[in-house]
Parts: sequence; C-alpha cells; structure tokens
Amino acid sequence: MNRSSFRVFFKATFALTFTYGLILGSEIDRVLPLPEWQAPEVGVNPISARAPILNGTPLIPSALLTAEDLQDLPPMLPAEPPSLNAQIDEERDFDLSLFLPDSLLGKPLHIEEQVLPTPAGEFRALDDSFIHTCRLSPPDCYLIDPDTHVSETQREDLSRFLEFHNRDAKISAYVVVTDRDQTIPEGVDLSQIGSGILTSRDSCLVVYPLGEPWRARVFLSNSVHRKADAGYLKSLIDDCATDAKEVTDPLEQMHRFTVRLSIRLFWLEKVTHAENPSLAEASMPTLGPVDTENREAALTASMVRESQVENSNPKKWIIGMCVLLSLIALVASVWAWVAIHHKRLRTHVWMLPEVEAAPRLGGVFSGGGGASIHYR
Amino acid sequence: MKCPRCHSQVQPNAEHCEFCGFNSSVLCSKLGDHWVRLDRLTDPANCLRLGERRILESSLDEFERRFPQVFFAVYFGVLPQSFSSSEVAFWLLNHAAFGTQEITKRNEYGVVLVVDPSASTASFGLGYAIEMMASEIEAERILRLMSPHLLKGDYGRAVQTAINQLDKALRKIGKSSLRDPRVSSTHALATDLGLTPLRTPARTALVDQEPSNYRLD
Ligand SMILES: [Zn+2]
Repeated sequence: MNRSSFRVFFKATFALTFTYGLILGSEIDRVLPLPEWQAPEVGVNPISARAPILNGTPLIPSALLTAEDLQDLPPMLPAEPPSLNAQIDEERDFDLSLFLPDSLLGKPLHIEEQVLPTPAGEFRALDDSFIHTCRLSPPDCYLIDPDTHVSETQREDLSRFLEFHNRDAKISAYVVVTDRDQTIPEGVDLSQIGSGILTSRDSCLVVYPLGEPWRARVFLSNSVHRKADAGYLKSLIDDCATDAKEVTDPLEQMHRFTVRLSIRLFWLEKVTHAENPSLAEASMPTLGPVDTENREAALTASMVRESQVENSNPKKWIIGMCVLLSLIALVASVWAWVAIHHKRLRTHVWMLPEVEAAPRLGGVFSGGGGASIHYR
Repeated sequence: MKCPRCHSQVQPNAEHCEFCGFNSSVLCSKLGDHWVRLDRLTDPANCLRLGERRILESSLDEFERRFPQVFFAVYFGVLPQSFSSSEVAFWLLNHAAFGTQEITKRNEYGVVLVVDPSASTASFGLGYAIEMMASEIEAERILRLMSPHLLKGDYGRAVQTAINQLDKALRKIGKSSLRDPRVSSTHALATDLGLTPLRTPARTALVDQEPSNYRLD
C-alpha cells in the first residue's frame, strides 16, 4: 500500500465516523437542520463515496447514488473481515502501534528484548531533590521510590514483603529504586534516608537501578559491617544480582533480588548476632533455589498468619458490638423502668392500713406525734 | 412519743406530759376549743411566692390523689413566743378542717407542717394513723432534708422536698392498686350528700408531672 492508498483509508475512516454521528444524531435532526447533500458536492470526493475500504454504512444517502454507483460498491458483508495488515504495508511513515494493540497489528504479544547495560558515559547522577525525598521518607516505608518506577501492584507486593522481612529480622532492609541509568553522586550521605531510621538500628540499604540488578549497591550499618566477613558480603551482593538476572522483566528482577537479599540478611544476622561469629560463619550454607522457595514459603505462611490475625479483628468487633448492644439494652431497660414507674405513679393509688390508736395528751386526731427542728 | 411543748418522752396513753403537764386542754385554754377552717397552704407569714404556691398546690393534689386517705397541710406563720411550732401543729391537727381536695379525709391521716420563719423552727405534726406508719425518725429525717432550703429561705423547695419524701415513705407502706376513678374519688359521694368541697382541686385533670420536678417560676 502506498501513500495515496493511506489517504483513501483515512478519508474512509473519517466518513465512517461521520456516518455514525449522523445515525446518533437522528433525533437532533428534527430540531437542528443539517446540511443536505447536493449533487455537485457528491462529486467532490468520489472515492470516499464509492469505495469504502471498511464495510459499514455508505456516507452518502442512497437516494443520491445512481445505479452505476451501486455497482461499484463492494458487498455490504464480506465473507471475512478485512485485515488491517493486508491494507497497511510495512513502509508506513508513522507508528500505528501508538494507537492499536500489537495483536491487531499481527505482532507477537511479548518480545524478549536483549537488555544491554547502560554505557559508562551515560550515567546520570541522582539529583538533590531525589535524595531529599528519600530522606523525608517515613521510617516504616521500606520501598522508597520517589520517581514511581514501580507500578502500584508491584509496589504493594514488595512493600508487604519487606514489611514482613523487617518484622522478624534483626537487620532491616530498605530499597531505594532509581532509574536504570542513575547513579549515586559522590559524597552523598545516605545514612539519613528514611528519616534517620538507618542509624537507629541494624539496617541494610539497597540502591537499586531498575533493570540493572548488577549495578545495585548495598549499604550496611557499621555494626553489621564490622562483624561480617568481607567475602560473605561480596557473595551476598553477587548472589542477589545473579538470581535477579535469571529473569528479564525489571520488576521481576527486583522482586527476586529482594527475596534473595532477605534470605542472605537472615543468614548474615545469624553471623553478626551470634555469640561466636566464627562458628556461625563456618556453618553458613550456600544458597540454592530451594532456600529461596523456603524463604518465600515461610514469608507466605507468615502473611497468612497475619491475615488470620487481621481476620480475628471481627471477633473484637463482635465483642464491641455485644458490649454496645448490652449498653443499649441497659439504657432501654432503665428508660422502660422509669416509664413504668411514672405510669405507676400516675395510675396507681396507695391505700394505707386502718389503724386504731389510743388517744394521747387529750388529742382526738393527733397525740403530738412528729418532729421538730431549729434550722438556724 | 415526745411532748409537743418540752419534747420529753411521753408514755403511750398518757393524758398529760409528766414533765411539763402539757395536754390538749392546756393549749385549748389559750387557742380555743372551736374548729377552724384552714387551706392546705396557709401562709400568713408570706413565705411563698405565687408561682411557688401554684406548683405546690399541684403537687399536693397529686399527692392526695395517690394517697386518697392522706392529706398534707402547711402553715407558715410567725407564732407568739408562748407557742412552739410543734404545739401549733398538735392543735391544728385536732382542731382544724383543712381545705383538702376531698372533704372526707380524716385528720388521723393528716400531716401538718408548721414553719415559724421568725423563730427558725419547723415541726411536723402527724395524725395517729400516720404516726403508726411513718415514724418520728422518718419525720426528723425529712426535716433535716428540708433544713438547707429553709435556711436559704427557699420555702417552696423545702415544702416540695417534704411532699416528695413523704410520698416516698408512704408508698413503701401503702398497698398499691390501680386507680379506680369511681372509688378513689369521693367528690361524687360528697356531692350526692349535698356537700361541697372546701376547695376545688388546683388541677382538674391529671398532669404528668412528677412531684420531684419542682421548679420555680
Ligand atoms: Zn412536756
């Protein structure tokens, strides 16, 4: 298909849209007079009228078409829907994929791209505002992503994962996500990231360039760093990066990196917090895929337990509701009692017993019974 | 029992006080032996304001409706020095026809409160029937509850307290039954006999007002 064919295609598309508008607007027609087609106007754009590429209602009202015109028109319902590919050749001068999904353009759904490391000369240093935002991040925000590289769902997953890691780990993990070509500028103090939480407890900070796990930089608290073997720390980073490189999706990479890091920190914690580090070091295992699965399984179990705890909150609500209902019942019974009491006061009489008393002090009705006070 | 004059203990059936010789005839020689007619609220000392008086009349009506046999009368007056408030209460219960809601009430079932604002004394006089049920201790208790109001000169509230407390005390003793208008009201009976009440009720219809809801206008 050449350029002129494209022009035809666009005009046809425009005509189709306009026709649809006409159908929808039929009610409005009664109020707003629309321009009527005149014979000369029909001749202005014969292509659009006579040869619509896509099947649909012809633009020009049938009354204006001659019998000759109708012969030229394609059948209204072709046996097979036309393929866009058949009409759009590969030499197109603009990118249709911006408007149409790959499947419609006949492309495969997923393309495995060859990821190339950012060339050394093209790194961009993180700017001050990025560092500043990282510093302002609250202590309980374990995934710090100022430029929002991570999608909301992934962010939720990773945050939950880190949250569960940090809940039972002695070395807490914080991840700062940067763009793939960004680097930490020289002389930047990272200790104040997360509102200073890193300095207040044993922590591990990962600055992770999304898509380039091999460039991830891992920082440890001094207390941990001193106790840990340098070789182990190097193997920690290598192991995480190697595991991440098993997949190509940048977010999947980061997920794997984080899980691996969690496992490694767990073992590091055994070294640094053991009473006899050397012994612990000797028994440090090499990690295989099984460990990763175990760790994830353990964390999943932990998350399930947590969700069960969260589910137990309804029980508290039930108790609360019961207490509330009891209170309401109590108030209602007090109110009922008061109402009954008032009604009784209104509708009842109290008859006192008839008593015989011998007169006293010469009084016929009273013998001086009673009491006196001097109230001043 | 105590002597109204010297407040010494008096034996039941005693014809006069063993200590001061007080008896009814001694009092009658000074105050007279005749019957007097008196309103439930008699206030020659002008202790009560009009609004207070109106509220108290309502409360007394309600009280008398609840206790068809009983009445409660109040006398505020500056008494001569030769008479104590308890002596006057004694004499009134034996010689006064109170303008109660129903004329058939007997004075044995009467409670008279005499207050002398000048001498700062207050006394309850109880008829024989009431005396058997509401003890002198109960009367003293009610007087103590009234005394802060009396001290402040809030006579209306003091009387209202007395009515409420007496109401409460008698309800414990009395036998409760649903009010039957044909039986409980002796108005009709009195009218049939050609008698008219000494005073008309302050309220012709029941008002849903607790006696404790005492307020001043
Ligand atoms: Zn005496």
